Amino acid sequence: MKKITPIFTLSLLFGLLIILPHGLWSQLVIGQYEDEAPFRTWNMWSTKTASSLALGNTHSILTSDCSVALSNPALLLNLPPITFTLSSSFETASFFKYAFVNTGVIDTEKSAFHGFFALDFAGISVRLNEWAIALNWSQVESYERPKAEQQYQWRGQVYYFLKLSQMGSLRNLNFSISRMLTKRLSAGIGFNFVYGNFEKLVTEKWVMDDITITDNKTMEFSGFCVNGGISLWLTERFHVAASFRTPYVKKSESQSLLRYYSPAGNTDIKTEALSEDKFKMPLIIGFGSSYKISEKLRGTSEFTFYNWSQYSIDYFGEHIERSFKNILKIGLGFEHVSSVKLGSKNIITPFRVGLSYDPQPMKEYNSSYFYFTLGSGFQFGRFILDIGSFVGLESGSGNSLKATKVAGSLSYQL
Amino acid sequence: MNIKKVLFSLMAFLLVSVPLKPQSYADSEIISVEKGQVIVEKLMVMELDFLMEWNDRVYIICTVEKLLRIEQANIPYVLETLNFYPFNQKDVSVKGGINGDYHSYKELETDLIALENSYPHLAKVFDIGNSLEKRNIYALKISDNVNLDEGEAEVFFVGCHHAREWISVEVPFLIGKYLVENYEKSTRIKELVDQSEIWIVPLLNPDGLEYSIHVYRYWRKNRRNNSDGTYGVDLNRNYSYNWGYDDEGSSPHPSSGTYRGTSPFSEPETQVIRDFFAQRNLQAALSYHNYSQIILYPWSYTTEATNRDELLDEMASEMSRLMKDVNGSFYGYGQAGSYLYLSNGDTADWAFGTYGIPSFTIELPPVDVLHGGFFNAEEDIRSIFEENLPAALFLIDWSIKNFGVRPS
Repeated sequence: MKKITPIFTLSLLFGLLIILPHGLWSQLVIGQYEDEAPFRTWNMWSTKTASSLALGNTHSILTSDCSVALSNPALLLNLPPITFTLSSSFETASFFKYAFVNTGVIDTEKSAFHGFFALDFAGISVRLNEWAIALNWSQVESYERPKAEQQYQWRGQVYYFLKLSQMGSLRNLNFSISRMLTKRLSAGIGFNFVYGNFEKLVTEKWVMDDITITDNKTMEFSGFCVNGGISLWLTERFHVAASFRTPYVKKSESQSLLRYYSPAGNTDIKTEALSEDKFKMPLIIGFGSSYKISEKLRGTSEFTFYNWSQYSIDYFGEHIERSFKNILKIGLGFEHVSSVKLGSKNIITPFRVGLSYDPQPMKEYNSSYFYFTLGSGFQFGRFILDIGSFVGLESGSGNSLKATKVAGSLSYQL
Repeated sequence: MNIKKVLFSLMAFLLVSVPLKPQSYADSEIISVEKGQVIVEKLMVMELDFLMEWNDRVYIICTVEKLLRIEQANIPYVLETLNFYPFNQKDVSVKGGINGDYHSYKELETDLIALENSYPHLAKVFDIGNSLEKRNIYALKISDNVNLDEGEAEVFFVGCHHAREWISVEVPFLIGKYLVENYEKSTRIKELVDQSEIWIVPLLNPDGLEYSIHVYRYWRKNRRNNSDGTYGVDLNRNYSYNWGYDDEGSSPHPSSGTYRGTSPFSEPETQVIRDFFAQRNLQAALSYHNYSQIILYPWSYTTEATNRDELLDEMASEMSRLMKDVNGSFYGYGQAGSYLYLSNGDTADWAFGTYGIPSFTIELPPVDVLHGGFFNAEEDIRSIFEENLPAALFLIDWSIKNFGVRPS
């Protein structure tokens, strides 16, 4: 086999980024904040622990902890015999148009920021000879939004207020198994039970008349999907992988209660609805590669296809087609590993940087996030602590949205 | 033998020997016939369930089969079922979604098409234009020979200029539904439908309605992006007759709930109505809103009366009287500008001012904000429709009788 040089690999990675049709680089964001839209971006697949986050949001190729099972279980075979990982994160994002904010009811001068902390991954993987298994729990999506409130006062007394709150998340219980097929080739499959909840509450009150209007929507989610992948070492330095997640139906037991309550008029009007809703989640396919440029330096790239054109929802008996198109998300990262002597101990310290391009699926306006990622960590004995972060800048919506995330992951390896 | 005694004896016997079981009358109707010896003799052989005698009429419960027998016997009758609410709790076809029994845009579209399919000779759905967000605006035409333009009296009913006024979709839709469903059963309805062309636009502001259902219940205007961070034009301030007459009856400010738009008929929804009127020869118009439980007639832009004030007041008065007879609900009435408040660029002023036809706005229940504001309980939809039905029938009847005669 012809030797693949580092220069060739880097040229290939950058070349691919440059020659991709420009249409793929710009998609939309407004409508991004439909109620069911995940926090920050529609393109949520698995949970990125700190090392993935720092490497340009790539997660289907470089192996550092057992969260790889959520995207490409074949990579479990590259982990030590036993790995236990915990990861948490703090994430912020700015929102401009969502619910009735900046769509006609409440106006804001600037985008609203919201941040939240989450313990978003816990998992264990075990490798036995040619086999590996993993059991993971993760938070895949969040539906949180900045709270909004408007009130009017007269002579220091509030006589009217309007409030909005929305929260919820989608979680995943994953069991994965993988097997080494040849010395260079391995394959794996994962079974995912997703579940979660959603709640949106709008409260409007005229204080003087003691009239309250509430609009409360809740959903309990459940679903099942399969993910899988292969991993192939083309050479000692060049490693490629492919992975997928099947399309699946995220089911929802939904409830809605719209209420007008006026004790003075002896009026209590309730409009209630119960529904079994469906969200047709898209097929996802990822391709990744990594190249060991030197003993200390590795590069990784990833292309992920989201089949959003097939997305639709059944919402309280109404079939709704969102105007979405397929998108390709791109990630690129580099990892430099060095070691530092601390007393008699040798501490391995990776340093990671990356870029990620994250176009949103809506057709009407072009919008996409561009992330700059950074991270580091150290391995001390059997413990690995990783820190990863990104800063995301959005363009296309006209609102210059921003997003940040910091994740910390702790792994114990045997 | 005195006929009255015969009837009372008969009724008493029937009431005692055949107790009424309401649940067994789901497919039955109540009719009334004029009390008279010949008619009663004919009815007696039909084994009917006599309900009561009142005001020189005999009330009878009968199945559709027996109703046909009555018709074959050439006995004139009046369908009274709706006056016996809640005896008749038939499905009104609207189905619950996130907004309960109220229609969403898609539900209305489905129900209108279903009505056309069920009564192809009486009902026809026309797509008369698009909203700003490209939803269809539908007009339901009801007439005998509905596919023909027979040059009959034409009456216009429209609902939901304002998104949050959900009941204003239901009432005109249910009026249309009632007309086609009772065409074969009621001689009065048959006469009205045969002699007129009834146009019903139940939902003029579909974009606003969807926003009201899914995002913010109290949304009023359409969904125009005013490009200054605000949204919406008040469609009922966007008609051309004395558009923007003053800033009290409408607002020049885009953030206002009564923003009149940048120019008369700036909005596609009102353009649809403008163009529709231009193509038709309408005799009368009625626009449904809520709330307040009142009947309004022009002018709205001023407190001055029109030159046809007497006629309009008389018609409003008659409608109010007919409505009160149904459920006892009193609808006040008066000239809009002095009775309620000033508003300019609204439908009724435009229809009267431009075409010279009697034009009304009915503000449906509730009466005030303490009793629900823009909310009505789902279980009240039917009774609100029922009390509004006689007013709609009156307007159709008036249009037929005054076909070709117009106020100057």
